[in-house]
Amino acid sequence: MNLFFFGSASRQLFGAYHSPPASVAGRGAALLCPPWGPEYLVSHRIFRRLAVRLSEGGYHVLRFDYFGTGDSAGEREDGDLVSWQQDAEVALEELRDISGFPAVATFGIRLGAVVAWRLATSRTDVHTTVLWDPVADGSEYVRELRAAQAELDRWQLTPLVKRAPTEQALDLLGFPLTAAMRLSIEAVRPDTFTQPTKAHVKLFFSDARAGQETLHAQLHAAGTPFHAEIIPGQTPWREDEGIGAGKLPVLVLERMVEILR
Amino acid sequence: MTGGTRERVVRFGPQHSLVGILTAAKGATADRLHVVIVNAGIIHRVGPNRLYVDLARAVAALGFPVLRFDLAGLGDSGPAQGSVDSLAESALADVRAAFDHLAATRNATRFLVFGLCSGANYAALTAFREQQVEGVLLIDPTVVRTRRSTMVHVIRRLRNLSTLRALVTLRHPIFHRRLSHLTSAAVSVAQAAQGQSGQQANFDSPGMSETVARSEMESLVDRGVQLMLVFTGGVNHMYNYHGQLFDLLPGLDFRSQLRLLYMPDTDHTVSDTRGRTRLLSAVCTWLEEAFPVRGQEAQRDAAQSGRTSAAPAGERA
Repeated sequence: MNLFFFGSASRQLFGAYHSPPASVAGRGAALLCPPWGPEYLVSHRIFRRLAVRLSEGGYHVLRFDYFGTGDSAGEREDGDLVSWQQDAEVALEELRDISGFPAVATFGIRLGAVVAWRLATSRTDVHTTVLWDPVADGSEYVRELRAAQAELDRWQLTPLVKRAPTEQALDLLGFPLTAAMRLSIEAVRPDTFTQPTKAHVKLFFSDARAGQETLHAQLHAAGTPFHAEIIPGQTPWREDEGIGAGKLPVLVLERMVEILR
Repeated sequence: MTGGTRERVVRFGPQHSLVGILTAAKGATADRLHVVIVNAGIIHRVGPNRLYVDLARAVAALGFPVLRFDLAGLGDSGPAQGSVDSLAESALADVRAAFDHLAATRNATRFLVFGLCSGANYAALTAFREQQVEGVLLIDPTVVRTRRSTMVHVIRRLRNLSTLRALVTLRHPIFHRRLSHLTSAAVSVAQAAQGQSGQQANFDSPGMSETVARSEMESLVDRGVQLMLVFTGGVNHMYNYHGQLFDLLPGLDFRSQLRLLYMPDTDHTVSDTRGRTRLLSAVCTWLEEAFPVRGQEAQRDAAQSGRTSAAPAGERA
């Protein structure tokens, strides 16, 4: 594993590159697009594990942090879904350079799945996109975060700082959701998935969440072939028992490695 | 990279299996106090809600280089090498390796250790053992309730309508906890009621008695270690009034080496922007006052001793 910074001097991004073992012929390259905020934090170790498993299977894998997130430069308030996709494009080019493969697979969880999907629809060098619990309705996603924050506040025994929305940002589960972020996220709607793509589309769901049928219908309507699986009880982006990380979804990881073989 | 500071990846420890990010001001000189940040629980080196990144950049901008890294088995670091007697021993060995790396690559000789939650416990244990530690910053280290804090906690719970409603309807989280948790809680309450567990600060170290904890803290003060302890509202089941620390360590003379910050209106990971801003400001102020440049330090010592002296050139912190 090689950890490094890449990108322009004014927009340094952190990357973790996992190369396949010398004994395994390179099968391809995979870019892992992380989710945002609390879900990024919770799913970090799952992404690392996925990168290790894919590299063991012969893939050149690049994990990275969007500007203003993780180890990348920038403040938490910087960026939105549009700029995160631009960062992913830079990361994709970096991966192509490192691996020597002209086309890559993109993986994403939650909002990261939206980024991975948009890469697959806007570029011709993505041959497969794997979407794990994709956010298909940005407005509903924001409502879920606010409800989760309200539930946390409800159990506080002493009054904490009132989380009134402001024009600048709203604190949600430890991360400031700026107006620009919220607007860009709320722009994600089921018809986001009607954009055509030539990439193979693989969908994974941790449970039978509402909206899946709508997502399937949009893909069908666009004539996009896809493969979907529901693997219950393997939710990587929800915090497990307040430990700051999600459960390791071994079954999902193994299925993802399998379908790329 | 940010505000006149640069960040780079460092690898160190056995087989270079430990991974961290070093944040330092451009042109920062050696012999400055180096700050080492320990993971909070199993959250990787960016810290809860990216708190460690913000803190590292703010502190580095003051001129103190900061290494935030992943303990063995966490984040991007490899597993612990060889046999491990306990998580605490493994963590202490990793922090020692971080010191050694900074000493070898940057001539660092003086350190400040910072951590939150379990990271605070490991930071405290490191300070107890390592003579090179000159400063400790702890957010929500494990301490035991006093009789007063137990009473405050129980009263607050009973006054909380949501708690009462949930208890009556059997929807309170307590009904979903494992039996062992309930047993542990019952024992703690019983001990507190009998006055057995109060007046104790154990820093989550197995076997560390009240006497040892007190002795270790006295030792830190005697060594001149600067201490900043922060307690948030997120641990108000354990620490819930400003002076609880002094009740835990009665009569201990901190000799102006303690900065105590009680933040009841923020949570355990300081997740709100206002609380985070206040915390970072308080930490930076403390660092500048506790570790001033050499000239300022001499002036402070002279003022404290009632003497006047010329401030020597150069800097210390």
